[in-house]
Amino acid sequence: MIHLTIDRRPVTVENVKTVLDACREAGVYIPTLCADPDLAPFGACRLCIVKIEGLRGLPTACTTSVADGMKVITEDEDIRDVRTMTMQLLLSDHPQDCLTCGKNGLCGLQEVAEYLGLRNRTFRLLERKAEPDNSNPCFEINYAKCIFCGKCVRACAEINGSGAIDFLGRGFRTEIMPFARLPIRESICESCGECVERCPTGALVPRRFLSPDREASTVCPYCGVGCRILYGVRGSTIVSARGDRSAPASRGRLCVKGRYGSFDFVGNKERLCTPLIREGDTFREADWDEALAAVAAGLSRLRGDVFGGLASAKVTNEDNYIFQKFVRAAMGTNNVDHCARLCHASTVAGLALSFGSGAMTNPSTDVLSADVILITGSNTTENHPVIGYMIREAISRGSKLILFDPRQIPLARISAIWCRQRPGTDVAWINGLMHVILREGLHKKSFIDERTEGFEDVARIVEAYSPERAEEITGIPAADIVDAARMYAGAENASIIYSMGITQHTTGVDNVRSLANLAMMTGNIGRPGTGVNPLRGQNNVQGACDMGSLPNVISGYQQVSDEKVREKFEKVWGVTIPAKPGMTVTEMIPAALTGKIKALYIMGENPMLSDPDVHHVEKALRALDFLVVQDIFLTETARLADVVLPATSFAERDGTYTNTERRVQLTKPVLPPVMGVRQDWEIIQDISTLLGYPMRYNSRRDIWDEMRSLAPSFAGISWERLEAGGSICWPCPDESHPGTPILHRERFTRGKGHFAPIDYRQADEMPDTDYPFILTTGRILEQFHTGTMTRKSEALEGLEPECFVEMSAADAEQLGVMKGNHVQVITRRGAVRALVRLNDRTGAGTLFIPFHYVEAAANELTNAAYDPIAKIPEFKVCAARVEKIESSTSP
Amino acid sequence: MTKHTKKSSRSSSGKSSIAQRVEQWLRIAGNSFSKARESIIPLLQAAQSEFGFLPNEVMEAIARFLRVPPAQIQGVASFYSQFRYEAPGKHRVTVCRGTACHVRGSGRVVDELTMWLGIKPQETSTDGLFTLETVACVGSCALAPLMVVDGKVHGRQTPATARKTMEKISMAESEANHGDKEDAV
Ligand code: SF4
Ligand code: SF4
Ligand code: SF4
Ligand code: FES
Ligand code: FES
Repeated sequence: MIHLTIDRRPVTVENVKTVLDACREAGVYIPTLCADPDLAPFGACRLCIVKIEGLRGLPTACTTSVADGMKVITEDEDIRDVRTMTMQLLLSDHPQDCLTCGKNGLCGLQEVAEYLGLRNRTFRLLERKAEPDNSNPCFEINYAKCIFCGKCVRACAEINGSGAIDFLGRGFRTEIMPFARLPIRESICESCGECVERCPTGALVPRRFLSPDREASTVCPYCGVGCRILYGVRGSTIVSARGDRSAPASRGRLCVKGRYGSFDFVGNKERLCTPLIREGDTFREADWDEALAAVAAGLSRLRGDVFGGLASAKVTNEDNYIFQKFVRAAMGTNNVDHCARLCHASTVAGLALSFGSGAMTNPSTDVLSADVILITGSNTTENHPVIGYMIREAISRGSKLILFDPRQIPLARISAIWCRQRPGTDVAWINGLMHVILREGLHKKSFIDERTEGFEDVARIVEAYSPERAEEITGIPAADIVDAARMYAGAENASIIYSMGITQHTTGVDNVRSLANLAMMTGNIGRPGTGVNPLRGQNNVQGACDMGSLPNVISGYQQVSDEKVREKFEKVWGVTIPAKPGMTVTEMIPAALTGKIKALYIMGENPMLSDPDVHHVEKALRALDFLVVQDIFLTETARLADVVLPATSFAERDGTYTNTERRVQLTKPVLPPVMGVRQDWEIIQDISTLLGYPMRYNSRRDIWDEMRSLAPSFAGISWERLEAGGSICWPCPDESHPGTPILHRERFTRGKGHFAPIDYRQADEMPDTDYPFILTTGRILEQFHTGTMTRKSEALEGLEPECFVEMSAADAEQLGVMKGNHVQVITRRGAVRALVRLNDRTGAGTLFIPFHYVEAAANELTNAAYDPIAKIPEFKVCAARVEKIESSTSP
Repeated sequence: MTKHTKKSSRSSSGKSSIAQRVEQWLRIAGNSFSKARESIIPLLQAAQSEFGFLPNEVMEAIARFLRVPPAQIQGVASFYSQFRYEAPGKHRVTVCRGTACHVRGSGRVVDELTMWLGIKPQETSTDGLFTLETVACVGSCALAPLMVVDGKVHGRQTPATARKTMEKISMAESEANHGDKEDAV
C-alpha cells in the first residue's frame, strides 16, 4: 500500500512501481509515447513529465519510482508548456497526412496533440527522407513517420526476444534498422508484429487493417501454446487480431500465424456451407435431414469393429467427448483415435509409463525459473513461437540453454551448448549423458531412493554408453556430451523441453522414456523450473487425448480394459462398452485395405496430407464401403467421402480447449456461424439419435458436465469457474481445488517414478547407396500442418508460398544444384518437387522438407514404419536421394 | 592517368575468405573477453584495429560470440564515430574543414580532390588506393589550409598542390605494380 497525493488529492495504490503506474492506477491521465506496460521504462519521449515535491525539475513519471508520501502534480502551466514544445518538435518533421494514415484514430501523436489542444505547428515542416520498406506481406514500414520512441526495438528485444531491429546512428540521423540494413523480410525478423502492435505512429502498420466495431477473445486455432487472441469484428467479418493481455498462457503475445494468418480462412469463399452427398464421381448438395439420414443409413450396416472414428485436435473438448462416446456407445467399438497418434502418441504412452501421466509436467512460463533448459527435437521459436519467446527471455535473464538438434535451428545461436546428433540416435546421447552423470556422481541419490524404482537397471545399461561410444553412434563430440551432462546435472533447476523430433520415430517411446530417466536421475521433477515438457502441436491436441479420443482410454485416461471404469461409464451411458482396446489411426488405415475396417467417420482431420505414405492412405480410403467427413473445407480427404458434413470454424463456437500445459480455457463465439453449417456436437448428437442411441444435450456445457462427473481429473473445473475468467490446469479434483500447474510434486501420479532401461536401436530405414540422404520433415514458422487454414492467408502465403528442401552447401555443390533450383526429392515411396534452400541449418547428408504443401506433399515420401508401443510413424527419418530437374531455371 | 571511381560494394568480393579470417581472429582474440554485453565495445575496437574497419562479418561474428542479435552490435557501433564500415584505402587523405582552413579555401581543395579521385569525402576509391576524409580543425591553424596524407601534414594547400601530391602517389603505385608483375614473370 502506497499513500500519495496526486494533484492535491490523496490516493492509495497497490502493486505499482513507477509514478506513471500510480497515476494510471488512480485514474489520472498522463500523456505518454514511449511507455508500455510490457516493456522496461525508457524515458525517451519526455511527455510524461510531472512535478514532484522535493525533486528538482520535471522528472519523467515513467522512470521515477513511486514512494510513500509523494506529492505529484501532473499538469500545470509549466508542464503544459514543456509538453507542447516537445510535441512541436516531434511534429516538425512528421508528415501531415493523418486522414489517409494507417494509424488514423489509433495514433499516439494524435492522442497527445488532442490532449494538449494543439492548434497550429510552430516550426516549419522539415521533410525527413526515409525509404519505405515493403518487403513484408504482413506489415508496412515507413520510418518517415517514426518518432523514435523505441517501442518497436524494445518489443522485439524484450517480448519476441529476437532483437531483429535496433537504433542505428544517433542524433537527428537516427534510424531503426535490421542488421546490415537488409529489407526486414531478409533479416532475422519473425514477422510476429509485436512491434507493429505497439508502434504509436504510422511508421509500422499492418498491411490490411479496418477498424472493428467490437472485439471478442478466443483461443488461437493453431499450435498448442494456446494464446488467446482478441479478434476485431466488423459486421460479420473478422478484420483484426491482437494479443489478449489478460491470458495467463500467452500474456498478450502472438506469433505471425496467430496475428496475421488466423482469420482469413473463416470467411473464405471455399467454406463448405451445405452437406454434400456423393453421386458417382461428383457430389450433389443436400439438405441436412437428407444428409444425416444418408449417414445413418450407411453406418447402421457397419457397426462394431469394422467401424472407426477419427476425432480431431482442432475441435473443442466437448466435441471430442461426444465423438468418442458416439463411437463407443452408438457404434459399439473402441476404434477411435486422432492425429495425436502422429505427433505425441509416444509421449502419452512413454510418460504415462514412467510418471503415470502423459503430459507436460510444468507450465510453459516455468522456463523462466529454470537455470538450465535442455531442448531437443523442438524448433521452439518456429513451432511454438510464444514459448520460444519465453525461452529467449529466460536466456536473457541468465538461464543456460543446452540444445540437441540435427538442424542448426535459430535457438542454436543463443545456446550454451549445441549438439548435432544424427537423426534417430537420441537414445544413445541421452544414455551417454546419464553415463557421465553416474560416473561423476552427479545424480540425486535421495530423490532416486525415495521417489523412484528400477534405477539399478538403468545404471547397468548406461554403463555401455561412454561418451566415446555415444559419439560413434550419434556423431556428437564426446567432450560436448560430457559438458552437457555436467551442465544439466549441475543446475539447481533444469527443465527438459521436447517435441516431435523426439516422438516421431520408431523409437519414439524409448526416446521419451530416456528423457524421463534423465530427469529422475537428477531429481529434476516436481519443482518450478524443472520437469519433462512435451510441446503439443495443435490447439486442442491435449484436450482430444484428455477426452478419450484414443482407442485404449476413455475420458481422463481411464483404461477401457478396466472393468470398474467400464461399469462407471456404462451406468451413465446406458450401454455396454466393448472391453477390447481399439485400433489406432496407423492401424485403421491399413486395415481399410484388408477389409477389416469398412467405414470411417473423420471429423476435422486431413489424413491425406498429414499421414505417412499418402499414396497408401488414398488407396485405403478409396477401399472403404462408407466414408463420412465432417470439416469446414472440402479437403483432400473430404473429396473421397460418401457424405460431407459442413461444420463451424473455431471462431463460430463456444467450448473449452486444453493447451499444451494442461490449461483448460473457455471460449465464446466471435461470430455467428455462416449460413448452413452446424456445430460438431449437434451433428454427432443427431446422427447418434438416428442410429438408435439418443443423445439429448442442450449445449456444450451439458456435455462438459457429464464428462467431469465421470473423469475425476476434471471434476473441479466447472463452467462457472471458467466463465468467471479462470483457466485451470488439470488435475483438479474438486471445485475448491486451484488446479495443478506442476505435476508429481510430492509423489508421481503412478506412485513411484519408473526407470526403464533402454538400449539404442537404429531407425527403421537407414541411408544406403541408392538413397544416400537422411530425410527429416517438420513445420515452419509461417505455415501450419496441412495448410488448410494458413494457406488461405494472403500474409502467410506471401511469406512462404512454396515447398523447399534444405540441404548443406557441400551437398548442393556435389549435386551440382544451387539455391533457387528445383529438385526432385525421391524415396522408396514417392517423389516431390522442391526449391533448394541453403541456409546452414542442415548438416551434410541430411535433408529437411516441411510438410504443409499439398502440391508437394512431404508425406508421399515418409516411412509408415511405426513405434511398436505408441504406433507413431517415423516421420523424422527416412532414406532419400535428390535429382536435379534439368530444365530448372532460376526462382 | 588512372581513373579512380567510387567503389560500389567491396564487401561482396571475397566474402567467404573474410568470414574465415574473422573466425580465426575471434577464436584467439575471443579468449581475452568475457561473454557479456560489456565486451561489445572493446571487441569492436579490437576488431577494427585488426581489420582496419568493421565488415558485416565482424559484427555478425561478435554477435554470435556474445549471443547477442547482430542488429544490436551494429546499433552500439553506430553510436560511436570511431568505427568505420568500409575497408580504408591504402592511402588516407584528410582535409581539414575547420574554420581557419575553411576561410583560406579548404573547400576548393576538397572539391579538387573529389573530382580528381572520383569519390566524395568519407568514401574509398574502387581500386582501394585512396580514402578521402574531412575533419574539423587539426590544431595547426598556422599552416591552413592543410591536408594530411598517410599521417604526413601538408600545409598551405591549393587545389594544384593537393593534386600534385595525389599524382605523385598514384605514379609511384603504378610503377610498383609494374615491378611486381615483372618479378612474378
Ligand atoms: S515483427 Fe517481431 S521479430 Fe520482426 S521486427 Fe517486429 S517484433 Fe521483431
Ligand atoms: S517505428 Fe514506431 S515504435 Fe518504432 S520507434 Fe518509431 S514510432 Fe516508435
Ligand atoms: S500459433 Fe501458437 S504461438 Fe502462434 S499465436 Fe497461435 S497459439 Fe500462439
Ligand atoms: S512515456 Fe515517459 S518518457 Fe516517454
Ligand atoms: S582549422 Fe584547419 S587546422 Fe585548425
